[in-house]
Amino acid sequence: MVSVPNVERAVAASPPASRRSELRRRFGPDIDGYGFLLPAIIVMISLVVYPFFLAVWFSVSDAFVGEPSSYVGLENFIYILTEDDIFLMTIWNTLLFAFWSVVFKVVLGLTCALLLQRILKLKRFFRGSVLLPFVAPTALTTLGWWLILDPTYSHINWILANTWPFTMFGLGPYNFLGNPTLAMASVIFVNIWRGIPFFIITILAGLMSIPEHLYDAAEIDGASTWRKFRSITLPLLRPVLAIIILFSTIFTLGEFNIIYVLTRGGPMNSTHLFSTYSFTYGILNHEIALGAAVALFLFPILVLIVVFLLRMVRRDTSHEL
Amino acid sequence: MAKKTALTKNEKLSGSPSRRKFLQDAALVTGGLAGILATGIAPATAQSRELKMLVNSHFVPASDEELERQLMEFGKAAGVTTRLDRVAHLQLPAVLAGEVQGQKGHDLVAVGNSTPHLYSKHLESLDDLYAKIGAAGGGWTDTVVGKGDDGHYKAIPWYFISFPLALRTDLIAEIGENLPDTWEDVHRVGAKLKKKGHPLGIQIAHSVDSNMILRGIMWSYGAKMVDADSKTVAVNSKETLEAFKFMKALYQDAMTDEVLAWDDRNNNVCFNSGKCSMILNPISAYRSAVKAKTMVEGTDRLVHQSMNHIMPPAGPAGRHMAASFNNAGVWKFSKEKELAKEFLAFHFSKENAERLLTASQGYNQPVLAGNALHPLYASNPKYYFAPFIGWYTHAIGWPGVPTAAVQTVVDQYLLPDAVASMAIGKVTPEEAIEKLDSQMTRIYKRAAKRG
Repeated sequence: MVSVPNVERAVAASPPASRRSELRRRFGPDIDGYGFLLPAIIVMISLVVYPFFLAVWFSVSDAFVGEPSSYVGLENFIYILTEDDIFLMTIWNTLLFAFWSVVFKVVLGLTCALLLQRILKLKRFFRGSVLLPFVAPTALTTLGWWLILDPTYSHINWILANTWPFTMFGLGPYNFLGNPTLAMASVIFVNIWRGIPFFIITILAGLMSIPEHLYDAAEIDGASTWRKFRSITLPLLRPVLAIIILFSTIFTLGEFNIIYVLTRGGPMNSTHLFSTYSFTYGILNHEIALGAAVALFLFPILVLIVVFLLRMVRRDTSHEL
Repeated sequence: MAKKTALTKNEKLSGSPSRRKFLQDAALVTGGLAGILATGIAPATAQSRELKMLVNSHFVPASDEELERQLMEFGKAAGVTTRLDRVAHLQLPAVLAGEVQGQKGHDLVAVGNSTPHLYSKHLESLDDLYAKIGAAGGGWTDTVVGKGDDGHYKAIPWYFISFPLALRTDLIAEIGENLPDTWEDVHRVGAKLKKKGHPLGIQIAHSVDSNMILRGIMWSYGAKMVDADSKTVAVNSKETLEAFKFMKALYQDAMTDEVLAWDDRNNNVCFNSGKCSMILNPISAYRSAVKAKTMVEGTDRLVHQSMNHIMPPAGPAGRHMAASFNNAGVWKFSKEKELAKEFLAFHFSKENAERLLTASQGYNQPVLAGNALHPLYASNPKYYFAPFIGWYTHAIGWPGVPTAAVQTVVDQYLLPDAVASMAIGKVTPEEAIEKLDSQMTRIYKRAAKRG
């Protein structure tokens, strides 16, 4: 009697394995890897890709809550660009808000990170403390700022009016949230306050990864502090800076909470951003199509920024390698 | 949030009407439930039924508690379970939109100013119920609230939050003036009090109060945002120009620039701190002054004893004020439409309406003229204005119906922004009106295109 080897029996009794072999033959050895990726891909498609394309569809349709929608091409974009003066103001506000917020976050974040790197006493305390604005819920901390900037009983105005040496200068009171310029400056300030810990901690991590021997070599060559910063620190921080600028730009362009709590887009629409105006259209006015068009308006520009910054990162990291 | 009926709790509530009383109330306006109620036994099939209601959380929690109690009482008598869901008022539009999109959700819903018009197609017509409740309750003080775009009533007007003039009687007496009756009086008195460090406080900002009060001033000067047909933009008129010029003078002479950043809370704070002499506000400023026992600075007098509420001031075209109206509607896609209507009939009976008003501490002012004559309003001189203010209070969109288009104008704060830009001298009154007219025309044109 011819005995069938155990292995062969097992293979014969296991049709899925043969199917897997067949799949491997057809699609290559990575098929198992794709299988492991599948749950993540399904989640991505359900929670990111589908909503995104739904938003794109809304922006080129006449979607209105509770009504059937149909394709209208670029009509919504033309409407907000040619007829809606508040939207034109919103574009300007958003660019201004994002530009100054990111610039200050980079400059102050870098400065604070350099200082924190040098602090030796209470190092952990200071490094932990800077994270506070970042870890506290935005809505809650913004409520705090709402009281500090209150039009009638601003804490800042009270300090200016009642505390030496400010009393000597006769400053204030300032209508932080009622004057268009001051209101924009205030929301930018709160955004910087909120976002700066992310910059500090990430840049600090970047600074720690710069090899010390480069500074030693520069020291031997007699390089000044500024020269060391310009020729060693800054070039080696570029990939880190590019990534955080990218993230911060995206998050800042989509800022909602700070504006909604502090100004609701006022005074006179001077602080409306894409997110708050999109909310007004899409949720309050039920104009889903216009809300989506406002929200997606910056998408092509964002794509360009992302491509530019990622290319820069790739160039810098490949240079390193 | 959601809370299943706990009948034993309901039974324990003191003053809960008997089943017989409940039956009488409901039968007053509808005979629908009479059979079930008379026997006191619900059909077996009803035991698995549920009546779900969605409202925005009331800032007086007792109001929601009373509503829930009535819902449970009704559910017990009808033999169904009940559920009251509450969401923050800013979230309500999004939840309603979600239910309309999905065509499922609650049976009964609280719907604000223009929502009956906006969701006309998705809300049951309640004409009969509206007429019956109105007849039993002494008539409605406003007859356009609750109307859909087909002219039918899509919601029963529930209550409004009024805007009387809250003023410091002591300060006005100190300058030898009488209480103001007209807007010109407010201007004169306000200017004098501002010089004494007590300005008038009216929001000219992105806030609900601002939208309401500035409309009230415009209407008092004979101006209107839109015609009675609810479709024709009518803001560009000589009456609007007069109103705008008056508002500019009022801002410059009697107010400070703080009002450009105020939200709905700031005027209360300003008044109760003793700084502001007059504000247009619901009775919340008074209520919080009573609760906090706020003192008039530098004296031993309480703020709430030194203040009063009077009717909104009159202008050349009479006395008018806007308000936020809350209505109750029934979704067309509800599985319990008849039961929901029967609950509304029960809820709007005089006794239940009075209980709700008591629970809300007087905030929920009835649109039913008969129910407005409530003992609570007679019990305190500060509330004497309340039974009558409904006759001078209109919904946004007046003299037309509150529509989706006018809601857009409100939500985008077009009127407060127009007034603010003119008040600070950024543009002339004429330019502000022209811009407002063009913005409104754009919105109404789009609404007309949508049909």
